[in-house]
Amino acid sequence: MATREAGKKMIMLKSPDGMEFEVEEAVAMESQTIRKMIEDDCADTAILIPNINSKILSRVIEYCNKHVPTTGATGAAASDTVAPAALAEDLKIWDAEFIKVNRATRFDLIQAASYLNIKGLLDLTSQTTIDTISDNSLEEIRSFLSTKNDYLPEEEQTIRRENQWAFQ
Amino acid sequence: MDGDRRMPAVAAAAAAASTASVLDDDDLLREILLRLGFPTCLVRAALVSKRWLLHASDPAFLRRFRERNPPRLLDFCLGFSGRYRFVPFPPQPPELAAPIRRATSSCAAAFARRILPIKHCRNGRLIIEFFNKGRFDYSLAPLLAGEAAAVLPTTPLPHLDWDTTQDRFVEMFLPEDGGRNGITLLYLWAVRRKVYAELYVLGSGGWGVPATAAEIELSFDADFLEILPPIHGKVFVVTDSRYALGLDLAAASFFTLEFPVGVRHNYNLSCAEDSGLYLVSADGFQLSVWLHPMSGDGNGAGWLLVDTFCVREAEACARLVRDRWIPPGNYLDVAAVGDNAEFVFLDHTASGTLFYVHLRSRVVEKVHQRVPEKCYEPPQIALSPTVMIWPPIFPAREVGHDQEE
Repeated sequence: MATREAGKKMIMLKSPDGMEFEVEEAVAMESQTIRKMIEDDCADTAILIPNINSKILSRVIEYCNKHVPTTGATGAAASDTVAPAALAEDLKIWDAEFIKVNRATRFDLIQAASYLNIKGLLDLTSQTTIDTISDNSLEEIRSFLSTKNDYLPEEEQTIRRENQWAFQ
Repeated sequence: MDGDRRMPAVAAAAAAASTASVLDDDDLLREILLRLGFPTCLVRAALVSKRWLLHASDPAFLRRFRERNPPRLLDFCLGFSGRYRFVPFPPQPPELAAPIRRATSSCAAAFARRILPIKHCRNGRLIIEFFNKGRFDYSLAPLLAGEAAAVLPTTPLPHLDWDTTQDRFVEMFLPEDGGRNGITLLYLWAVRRKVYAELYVLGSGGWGVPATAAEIELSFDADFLEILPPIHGKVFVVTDSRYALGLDLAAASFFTLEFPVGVRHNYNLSCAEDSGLYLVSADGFQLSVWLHPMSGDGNGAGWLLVDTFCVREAEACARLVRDRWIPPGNYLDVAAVGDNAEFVFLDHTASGTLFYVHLRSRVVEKVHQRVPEKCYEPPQIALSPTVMIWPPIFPAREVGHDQEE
């Protein structure tokens, strides 16, 4: 499915820094926010995406492009020929490569995924933060997030005592 | 030197600004907390700061968290032939290693000196019955909860008719909300077709007077087999007829619940969303899962067959049959059903094999094998699955509001 069939509806996405991205409507509709705009007929041919710069927007489009269900002109799923498990495995490897970005970019992607409402991308981008929260000590989490501990020692002790099962 | 220092400082500042903008955004923070997966991680995250606690302890957030991450089965306690076994199951991720260790060692401690009947197991606590100075007493043993084991106040004596009746039950249930207060004591007895119940609720002042007393005249003959723990505030008496006798604990009223045709005493119930009820019954190797919305009057027409599954087709059971491990009997006892009929424990009494069935994924696993007893009566096993505590106990939210203002 390398060639793009004629007649596929295209949508123009514009970033606030003036870049324009022409994408297939199906790809843009991976974002529930854009899908709603299209379905409500709020979108003509160009949609301005506020708050997301061209660098992040291009990465988001790259993600959507990969994750859009692959359908041919007939509408039959391409996964008829490729085993779904293999396809999922391929996506997983691709995702792992995709998310190898610095922390600032990752957080930009989280914001973009949240604003554009792309569940898969939000799951993927949040994961490292989740791992950080799951794997590190409280002090490490706080310093990583530059958050100040505003608990009184006895308040913290109460929560620890009441929920001892959650700790060692 | 200056350049060396500045570059990371700029990068760090950019990262910190980005981090701040993401995690200062309440919606994004909640989305991330929601994806933590385990209540253990959520409790730890709540300790990061009071703002995080405010989100983690929000009832609407907790509902979403539970929907996304239903409390998990940690292990089960299996009682047979006067012994208990604690079997960690199914294999769990490392995030749950601490609670599993805790549950298993608490169990071992609770039964270190003698084996006592478990009256109820819920939300990380056990109620154990023991005989003391000529009468039964009860103790509350924590499995996961951070508290000491405690002997409950002496229970009030049952009603005068008690001694003269045949069908009689003493049950004690932990409250559904997971708290320590509100343990219910139930006396239930029958005189011919008339059934009586007395309920006591344990408060700070002890058991007090019977909170409620109820009676009903049954329109059918039935032997009572067992009483199931409360589901949505109702207990069900398993009978040998097509009906179960229900008792609404809050309203203190009896009702009868008719089962679908073909369902007889080998079943178990579990809670469904809203006030609904799941029924899992077994006929040989054939499992049927029914759902009852419980909004109507509780007649048989309300049952909807939502799933059927022949366990014999699963590899774990197929081996039993093929390798002739099992004696001729094909009776599978429905020993326990998880919330929302997520899992079922089936006991193949003739071979002493316990199976775990995860209904949605159709996974069937053999989880325990005991030496089958050589007696005609199928040996009774007692099975108490331990499920992860939910919800976490957070301080009253007023503290958080004060902080905000």
